[in-house]
Amino acid sequence: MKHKLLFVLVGIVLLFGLQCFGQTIDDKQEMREELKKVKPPKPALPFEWSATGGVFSGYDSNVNLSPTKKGDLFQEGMFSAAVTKPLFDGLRLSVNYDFDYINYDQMTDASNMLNHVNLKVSKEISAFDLATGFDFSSFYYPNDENGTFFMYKCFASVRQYLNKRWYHQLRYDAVQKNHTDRKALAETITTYQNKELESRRHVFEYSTGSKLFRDIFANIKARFTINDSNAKFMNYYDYKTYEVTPSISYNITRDLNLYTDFRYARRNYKSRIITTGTDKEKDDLYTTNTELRYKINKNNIISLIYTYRNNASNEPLEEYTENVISAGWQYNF
Amino acid sequence: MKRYLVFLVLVMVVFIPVLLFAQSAKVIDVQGDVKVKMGNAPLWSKLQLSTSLNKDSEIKTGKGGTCTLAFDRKSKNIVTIKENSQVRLDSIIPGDVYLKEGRVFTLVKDLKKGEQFQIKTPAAVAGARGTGWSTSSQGGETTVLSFDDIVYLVTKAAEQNLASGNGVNIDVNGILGEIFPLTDKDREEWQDFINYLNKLVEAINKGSETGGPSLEDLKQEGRDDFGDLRGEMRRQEQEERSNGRNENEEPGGPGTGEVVEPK
Repeated sequence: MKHKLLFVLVGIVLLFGLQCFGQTIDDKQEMREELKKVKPPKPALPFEWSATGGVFSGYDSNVNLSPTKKGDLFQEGMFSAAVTKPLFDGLRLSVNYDFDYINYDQMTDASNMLNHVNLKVSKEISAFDLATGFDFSSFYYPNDENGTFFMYKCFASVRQYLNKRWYHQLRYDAVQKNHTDRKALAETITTYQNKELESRRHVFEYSTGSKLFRDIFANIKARFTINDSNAKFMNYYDYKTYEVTPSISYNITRDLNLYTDFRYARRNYKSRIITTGTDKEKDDLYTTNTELRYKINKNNIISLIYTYRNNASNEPLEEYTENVISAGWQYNF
Repeated sequence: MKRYLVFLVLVMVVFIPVLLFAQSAKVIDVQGDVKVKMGNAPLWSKLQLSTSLNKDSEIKTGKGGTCTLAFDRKSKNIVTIKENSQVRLDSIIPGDVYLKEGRVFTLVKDLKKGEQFQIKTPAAVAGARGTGWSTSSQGGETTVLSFDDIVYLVTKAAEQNLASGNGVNIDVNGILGEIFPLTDKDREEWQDFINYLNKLVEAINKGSETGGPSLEDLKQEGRDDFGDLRGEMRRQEQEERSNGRNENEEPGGPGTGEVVEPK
């Protein structure tokens, strides 16, 4: 009798005891298996997209970038759109389009329209982002045919994320720049060849960016450019440029962002001699941009932008300073 | 030979991928009272920002404490742990979080093919391949609210696909309650969460586009070229003025004017 009671008790423990201790590992595994069988939801769209448009108005103190300043009011309209689509094997295709039109009230020669398309294929491999693609820009000056030009670029970049807050990147651009109506200089400054001005350019860039604190992101970019053109007079547009551009983005509040950058570019001309002596021309271009952006809501942003440019050159004809201030509204679609 | 070795070491240090990177969740935000217990550590310690958390780490938030974890490099797969909660990370890739008590918000946007992200509670498992939802666990009962796309639920007693805009309660036995629509308050809480995330990840993603110039870079290029053109014109004008003066001093000198070389 005793043995029978013991047997029943053991049976009860075996049958029900496990349930008292919650889920077993087997139950969890079973749930995982069940989860896999449930059909996953399809994504809403096979690609991601974003678009933004904006209008701005402002004043430029030196429209012609000349030692003798002349200012003018301007209006600006812009539109940007981007589409990203996953392809196969982790490849992604991105297409970006930008449009920007600036209209000056009186100095209309400087009014210009920019169209830009960028096609990029990228792939993530572990902590690396590899990208390559093609870029086309057209700068059209409706009132100054000499200003219009096209730029074609092939580029490649590799970015490494060193951790979740810090990355660095190498990029190379091969650029072809063609003016449509501006002739290339011949043997003197006042004579021209019977062909348009063209430049070939190699650009090497290293950049690194890091989230320093919760609301601050910093970036620094170093760039080396070699420009070679078909202008004969003093190889007028053959130069090397060394640039460095640090920048900071600071979220002052949830909706208010301050962005500022400072660019220093040193341009050493290969053979261009200054008009006041026998030295080769060297330009030191200092540019700073500061932008205050306030996000009214998810779609609407208002901005205040200030830009200062100062070209300090050993060629007096190339020295200038410029102040540009503008304000505007942007809409995110 | 030495130079090559030094160069190789430099390349390895700078460019070899950090393998641990992919196998841990990163703390990208911490506010208030948040503690962590990692691995077999017996005691809780204060959780610091940027800590990497491995599998089996546990996090506990007190009153007013919140913590946000990123499960991938680009911070597209996120879990925010709200106050008075306790979770354990059962797996990083794929993401698998056990919510013992409290509330978490989950936003999943970038999983590899075949992967899923799931939040488990004592009563249910809520998972998805690409959506946003919140999971609460109180006294053994679970509430799941789906905000973005379908969340699929598995309990001891049932399975259910929960469509976007709906919520469901699950009791301690895994029995699903009636599906109910989200309230305005639920949607506001979710929107606050999205706004909070956008601000959090915006800074690190700003400027993170690889390849191709920004609109500002292009405008700068346009200004540089315009400056070059104007500079060339000023030099020409100066040359022409100078030639004009020379002609006046030396009668019979050559005239100026644009000359185009023949092809």
